Amino acid sequence: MALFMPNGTDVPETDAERADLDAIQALKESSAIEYKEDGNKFVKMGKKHYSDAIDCYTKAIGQKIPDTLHNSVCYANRAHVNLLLGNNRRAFEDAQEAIKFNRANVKAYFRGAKAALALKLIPEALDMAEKGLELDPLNTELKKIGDQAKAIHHEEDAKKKRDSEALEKAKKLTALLEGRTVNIGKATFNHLTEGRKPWVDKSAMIHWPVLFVHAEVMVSDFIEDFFEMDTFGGHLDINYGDGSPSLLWDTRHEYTRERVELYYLSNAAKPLSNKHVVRWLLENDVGRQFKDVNDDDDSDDYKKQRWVKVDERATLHSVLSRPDHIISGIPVFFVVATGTRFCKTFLSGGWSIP
Amino acid sequence: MAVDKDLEDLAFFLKSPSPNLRKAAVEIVQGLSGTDEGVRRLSSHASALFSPLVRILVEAEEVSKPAAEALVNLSQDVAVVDHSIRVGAVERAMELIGKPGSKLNKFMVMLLVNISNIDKGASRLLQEGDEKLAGLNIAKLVRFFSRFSSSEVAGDDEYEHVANILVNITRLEFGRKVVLDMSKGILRQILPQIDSRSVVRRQGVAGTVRNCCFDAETYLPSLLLASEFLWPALLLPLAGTKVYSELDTAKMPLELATPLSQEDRELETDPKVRVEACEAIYLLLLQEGGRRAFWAINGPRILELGYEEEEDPKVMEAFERVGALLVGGSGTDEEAVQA
Repeated sequence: MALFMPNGTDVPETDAERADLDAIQALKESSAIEYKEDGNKFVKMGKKHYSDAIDCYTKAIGQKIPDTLHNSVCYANRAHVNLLLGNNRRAFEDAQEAIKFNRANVKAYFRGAKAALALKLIPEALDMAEKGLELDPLNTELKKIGDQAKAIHHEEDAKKKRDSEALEKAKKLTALLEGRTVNIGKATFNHLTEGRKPWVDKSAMIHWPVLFVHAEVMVSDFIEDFFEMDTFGGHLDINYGDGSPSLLWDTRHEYTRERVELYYLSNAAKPLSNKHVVRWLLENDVGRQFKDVNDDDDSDDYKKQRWVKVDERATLHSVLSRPDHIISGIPVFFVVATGTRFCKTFLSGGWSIP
Repeated sequence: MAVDKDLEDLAFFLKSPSPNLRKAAVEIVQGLSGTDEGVRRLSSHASALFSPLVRILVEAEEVSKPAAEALVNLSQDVAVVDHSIRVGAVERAMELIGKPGSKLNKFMVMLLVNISNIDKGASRLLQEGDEKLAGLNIAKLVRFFSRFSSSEVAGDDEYEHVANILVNITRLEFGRKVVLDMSKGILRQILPQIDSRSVVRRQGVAGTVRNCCFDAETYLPSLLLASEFLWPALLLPLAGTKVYSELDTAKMPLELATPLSQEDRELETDPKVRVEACEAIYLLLLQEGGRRAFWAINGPRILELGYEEEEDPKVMEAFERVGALLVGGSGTDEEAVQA
C-alpha cells in the first residue's frame, strides 16, 4: 500500500517504518471521517456556517483516503452546500467527482442535474437525471428535474426552428427585393410603424407598410397593406376621397383629394448590403436600429437629395424600384397641399425633415 | 413497302459530287414537296432524303434555297419531323439563323415552327434538360424577332414566324418557364410587338401571353412586374375606338391613359388576337394579386367600353367570361372607391 510519497523516496523496509506508516494512515482515516461529520454539523447550523462546511468537506477530501464511498459522499455533500450557496458551477463539478467515486450515488446525480439545469446545461442535466432515475426510478425529485430539463430542451428546439424559419423568410424577401432593384437604407421612422416590415404573399408578390407624412404638421397616416401593384391614386382616394374621415388638424380644409400631392426624398439614405437588409428584416423591436452599420459612411459620397413628385397613377413598385429611391426602412411619402404657403416653402427647399 | 426507285435515285443524286446533279435533284425534290401527294411520297423516304438536304443548306443560294423550301414543306409531315429531330435539324437550323448574308432565315424559322408543333420538337428547341444551355435558342430567336420587326424592314419580315414558335413552345410548361424567366427578359421584348403591322406577330404575342397566363399562379410576379408592357398589350386591343374621358383615364397609368385619350386609334382587327387577350386577362384575374392590380389601373372600365363596341360573337363570349369574374369577386379597392 503506497502513501503519497515524493518521487524517488524509498519504500519502507523495516518493520518500524511500516508500523509508523500504518499509524499515519489510521490518523488520516479518522481525520477524514471527523472532517466530514463536522461539515455535516455546520450545514445543519444554517447559512452563516455554509462556508465552514465547505472547508470541512474540502479537508476531508484532502486526506485522500482510499475509501471511495466516503469520498463520493464528501463531494456530494459539498455539492449540496455549493447549490445552497448558488455556486452552481462548483456544485456541478463536485457532483461529477462524486459520481466518479461512486456511480450509484443517487444524491450526486440529483444535485448534479439540479446544478446543470441552473447553468442551462440542458444535455448534461438530462443525462444526469436519466442516470439517476435508472438507479432509483421512483425518485420524484429526479423526475421533476428531468421533466424541467426536457421542457426547456423542447422550447430551445422550437425557438431554433422559429429563428431559422424567420431567417429563411428574410433571405427570400431580400432576394426578391434585389430582383426588383428595390434599395433599402437605414430606417428613420421606425417608431411610427411599430416595427412592421414588408411581407410576401402566397403569389410571391410583396406588400408594404407605408407612411404618408403630412409635412406641415408632422402628422402621419399609416397604410398597413400597400400592395406593390396598387397605385397611389387608389390609396389617396381611400385617405382623402369622399367618405374618408376628416383631418382634425386641417382647419382650413386644404388637404382635399384634388389638392394633395405626394413626394419622396431622393437618395434619402445609403443602400444597405443584402446582409444588412436581412438583419433589418429580422429586427422586431420598435426603434432599435442595429448599431454596427457604419455611421461614417453616411457622410461620404452623399448623393444629391431632392423632393421627387409621385405620379399618383404609378404603382408602388414602379416608384420603389427607381435608382434614386432608397427606402429608409419602410416607404415614406410626404403629403403637401397645393396652393398652401407651406407647399411653396416645401418645394423651394425651405423645409427639411425634423 | 413499295420501293420507290425514283426517290432512291434522287437521294443518291443529292449526295453526288457533281454540283449540277445536286442542283437538279434539289429542284425535283422542291417541286415534289409543293404538293400534298408529293410530300406523302417523299416522307416515306425521309431518312434518306433529309440529311443530304440539310447538308446542302450551307451551299450557294441557288441550291440551298430550294433545299430549304423543300425541308419546310417536308416538315409538315409529323413522321418527317420526328426523323429530323433525331438527325439534329433543330441545331442545324439554329446555327444557320442570323448568319450574315444568309437568305435562309425565313425558311429556317418556318422549319422550326413545324418542328416545334410537336412536343418533342418544342422540347428540343427549348433545350430542356440541358442545364447550361436551356432557353438560349429561344433567347436568340426572340432577339432577332424584336430587332427586325415588320415596321422597320421594308421588304420581307424574315423573323415574323418566330411568333408561331413562341406559341408552340409555351404549350409546354418548360417553355412558359423560359419565357417568364425574368432574368432573360423575353416577355418584355415580345410584348411591344402587339402593335406590329403584321397580324402573325400580333397573334403570336397574344397567344404566347395567353399560354403563359395558365401558369399565373406560379409566375404572377413575372407577369405583373411587367405591367408597364403587359396591360397595354392585353387591354389596348380590347379598348374599342372611342376616346376615353379624363375621368376614366385619371386612374390609368400613362402607358394606357395616353393612347386611350387619342382619337383615331387603330382597332385590333383580328378577332383571334382579341379573344386571346381576353383569355389572358381572365387567367390573370383568377389570381387575387392579378385582380387587385387590374382594379388599380381601372382595367374593368376598359373592358366595359370595349365590350360595348364589340361585334364578333366569339370575342363577346370571351368578354362575358371575364366580366363574370369581375362581378363575382371584386378587388378590395373597388369597394373602397364605391363607399
